[in-house]
Amino acid sequence: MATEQYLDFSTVLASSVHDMKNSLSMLLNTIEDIAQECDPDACAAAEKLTLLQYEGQRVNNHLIQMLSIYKIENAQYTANMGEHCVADFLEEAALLHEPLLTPKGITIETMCDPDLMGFFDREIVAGVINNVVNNAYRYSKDRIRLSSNVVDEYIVISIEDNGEGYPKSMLGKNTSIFTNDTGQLGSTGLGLYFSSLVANIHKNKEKSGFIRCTNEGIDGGGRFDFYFP
Amino acid sequence: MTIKKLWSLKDKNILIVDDFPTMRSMLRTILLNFGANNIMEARNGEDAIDKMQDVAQEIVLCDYNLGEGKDGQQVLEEAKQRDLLPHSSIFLLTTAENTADMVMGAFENLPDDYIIKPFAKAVLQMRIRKLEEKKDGLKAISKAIARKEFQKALMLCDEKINENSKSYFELQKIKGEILMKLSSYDEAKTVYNTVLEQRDIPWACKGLGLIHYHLAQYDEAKQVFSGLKEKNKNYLPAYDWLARVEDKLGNSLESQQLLMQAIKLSPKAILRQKALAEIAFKNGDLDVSEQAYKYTVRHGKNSCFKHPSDYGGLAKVYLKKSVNKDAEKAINNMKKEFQNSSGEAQLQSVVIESVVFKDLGKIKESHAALDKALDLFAADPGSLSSSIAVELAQACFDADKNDQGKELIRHVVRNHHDDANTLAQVQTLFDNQGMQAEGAEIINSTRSEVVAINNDGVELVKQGKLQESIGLFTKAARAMPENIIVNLNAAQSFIIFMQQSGVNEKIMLQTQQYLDRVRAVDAGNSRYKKLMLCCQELSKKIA
Repeated sequence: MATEQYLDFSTVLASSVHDMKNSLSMLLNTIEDIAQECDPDACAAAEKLTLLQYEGQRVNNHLIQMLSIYKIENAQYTANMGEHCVADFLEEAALLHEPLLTPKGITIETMCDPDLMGFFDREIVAGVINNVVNNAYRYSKDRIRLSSNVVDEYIVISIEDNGEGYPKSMLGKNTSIFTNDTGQLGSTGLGLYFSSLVANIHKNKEKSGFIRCTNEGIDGGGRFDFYFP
Repeated sequence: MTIKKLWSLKDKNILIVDDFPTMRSMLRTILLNFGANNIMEARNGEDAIDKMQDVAQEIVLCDYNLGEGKDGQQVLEEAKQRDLLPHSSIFLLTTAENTADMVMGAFENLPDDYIIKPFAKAVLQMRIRKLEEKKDGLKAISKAIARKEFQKALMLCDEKINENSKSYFELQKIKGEILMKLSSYDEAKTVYNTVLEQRDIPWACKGLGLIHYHLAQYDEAKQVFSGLKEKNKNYLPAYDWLARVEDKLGNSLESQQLLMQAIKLSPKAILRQKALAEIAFKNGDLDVSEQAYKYTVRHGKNSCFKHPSDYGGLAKVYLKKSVNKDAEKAINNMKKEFQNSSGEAQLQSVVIESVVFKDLGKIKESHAALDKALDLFAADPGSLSSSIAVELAQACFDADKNDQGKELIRHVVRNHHDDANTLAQVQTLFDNQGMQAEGAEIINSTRSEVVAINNDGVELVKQGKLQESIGLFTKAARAMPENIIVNLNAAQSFIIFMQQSGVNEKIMLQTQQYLDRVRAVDAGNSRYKKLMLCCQELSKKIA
């Protein structure tokens, strides 16, 4: 049959995404090097460089997201559960984003019991956090807070900002919140879908992870909660 | 926020391992920024092991993918095997995105942490800093373990667990490992079950399986390891242990299948390839065996796992396949590799040479090797393990050197006078020579000889002639290093001595060596367990 000559498109996609990711990390590294060489006060392009980095990060996050969704949906993803210190994990995320947030006048803070340990797939959850922080970058007025607490038998990682908050249609728990008013999956919706898939692969005994969006962030801003058992 | 104290890598011995020069220099620049001033670089796995031997490295930053030769995981395994990585040192594996799945959590020996490339400098700094803090917190425990003060280490673990340490699971893991070493299986089981009640963690499940395995409860072990493998498809220890269990249960075909699956996931582990080669040979699957032996030989060359039996195994595959030319080539390669070695490796190499040359019909060469083997044995009988001694004895009988053959069998019996399997095996060997009656007599008289030595020694202890008993048992243990009862008695006489005359670190170390020999062959031995506990009581007095 003629169709046998074609590869399954998802395979093509997965392998292209891989190549794109590699090129992109080269690109981002180079931008970072250039940014370091130029003094923000003296260099006229400094602001544009920050924008480049931000957009580059966004593309990178989307690619990670796409690849991970593909793998999870095809049962190719093996969660790599490890025990990690949650405070360290949040601090790392803050360190990563600080250089991009500072020029925009946004401060990022972390709040977490330094002894809190959790079992989670550090790399893929980092993907979730990066996504949400990148969004908050756009909507926050001037603050982003990463925090973590224990609620019942779950650890919850929260990302709050002091912007306008999520639109009403996105508020709530898990699956109902991915589509926008017109029934389409917006960019934020895709991000939330990814987050909930990732939360769901976190299981212990009978419990599975989930996500929740509210407007209980700083001064009524958006707040994203990632629960895992 | 708390104020961070000044942190620096000043005066730390650091090793960077990467096959790309640009990556190495980039990492070096980053580390220099963190105050490092003692940095070494290695460009491949062999180089890395050499540099770890030269200098005790405190931090090793090693890439997973190192091109040809060893990968980062193998560097870690070899370093652990050779004792180049003390508990206090940090091994951090760097990996590219596309190999990350394989690197994380799949192996028996895990790095202290891994980090995915490309990474931000700040993240690397933080990881190293946090690992140092963690190691610092466990320092007292690592120290106790290194000194074999296991009871003390267990006590320290419990103290920390009761303080609600954030390293709770890590501490339970260490506790489990120590209890396993002491053969305290009931307590180890409690530790693992406590952990599993809270969470399905692969190492805890593996621990339960191991307990069954050591207690020869193979059906239960099978159940545990199968469940572990089902839930964690990438967790290689589950495959390796299940393969061993299946072999014990007589299912050598299943065992081979499991090893092949594991090798598909991770082809570079030399010991796994060797296990596959052996089981496939047993199953008559010569092609698989040949391929696995070839891999073992080729990749074992620059590793601590290199062994003459790999070449011998390959030669035997070729003999079975009637490709004599290749069998001879394998033997010649072995001679080249081991001509400058010493002790058991050299002796075994010569024995294999003799056996294979005989099968090749090269009688002159076979006899020359046999004579050399007998000379080596005469010079240092303790270095001949019983499994090779049996082969050597057979070779002697084949060459009409019956006296030497008998002497070798006595050597085997002395080392295993209480082991029915071995005794049956050597009796069969005699039977095949038409020497039933004489063989039985040799076996019996040699056994009585050993029993007499043990009785004499015990009698000396009863009479309070402790020094004489120690003299007798240490001599016996030197001549029969594999004999369980002799080693136990030697250890016990030393323990009584220390109980009476005070603890001495040197004697303690020797006692441990006798006990380690017992553990290596019979971890579930009840006398071993009792004597280990006595040692622990005594070691408290050293501290």
